[in-house]
Amino acid sequence: MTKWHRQKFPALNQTVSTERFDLVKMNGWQVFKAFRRTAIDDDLRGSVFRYMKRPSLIKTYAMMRKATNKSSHTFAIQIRETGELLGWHSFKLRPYKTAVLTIVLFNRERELSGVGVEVRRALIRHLARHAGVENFSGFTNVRNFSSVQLYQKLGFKRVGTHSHVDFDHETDRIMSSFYFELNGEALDRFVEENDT
Amino acid sequence: MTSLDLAREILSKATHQPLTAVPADASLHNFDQWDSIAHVHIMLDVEERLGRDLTPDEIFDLQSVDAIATLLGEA
Repeated sequence: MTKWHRQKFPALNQTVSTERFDLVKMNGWQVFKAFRRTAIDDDLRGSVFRYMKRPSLIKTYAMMRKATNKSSHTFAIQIRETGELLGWHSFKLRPYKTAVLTIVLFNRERELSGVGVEVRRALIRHLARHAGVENFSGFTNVRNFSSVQLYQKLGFKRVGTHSHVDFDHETDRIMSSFYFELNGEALDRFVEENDT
Repeated sequence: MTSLDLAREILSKATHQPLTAVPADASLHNFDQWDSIAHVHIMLDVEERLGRDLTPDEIFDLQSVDAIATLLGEA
């Protein structure tokens, strides 16, 4: 019997649309290009790839392979009207019925305010309703203020702080991480409230 | 200027909203203009005024004008 987190749910390949954006499943080559764009940007790399040095093409390829296996899925975030690529949103399914979320936005222009909230809200609802995900989790370093704000805005509960686990050589700061979860009645309310 | 006025001023500056449009009970859950970009500016502004990095608990707790005012008032 196939393990839950490796099942081929049709919902995992479907485009998820919001008022302004589309989340479109990416193939391996598209993920590679998106990861490469993230990896060569000094600001983005620190927030996602945990302070690693700029990865080689081979390392980026290996990361892409890990992010496109049976339990990992990556979606392009595109503007609906133009198709412009704004970033990517990935999730890794884990037993039991859990999705671990990661989002990267390539630019943070004021006119695109709220893109993270809008696409993650739609994706959570989609996965809860159509793939049976019962627990959403994520972690971020505490100084990734925009990421912390995203979890808070969506009503995630802070379930832990991993203190002094990283070191940012660029700013000479010891870094800590927050862990967040959305599940149970809070998730039920979330899906109901966003069920438009 | 009270710490509450100062907190509203920080939020006003970060969201590019007039001070009069920032209610005393504004939070990231009820004030739409408090987006991720504004949030970054708020955190950095508070750190600059305190002259130190925020602790993880302070970063997590700063979700409202009231929380900002309380932290600045304690400084």
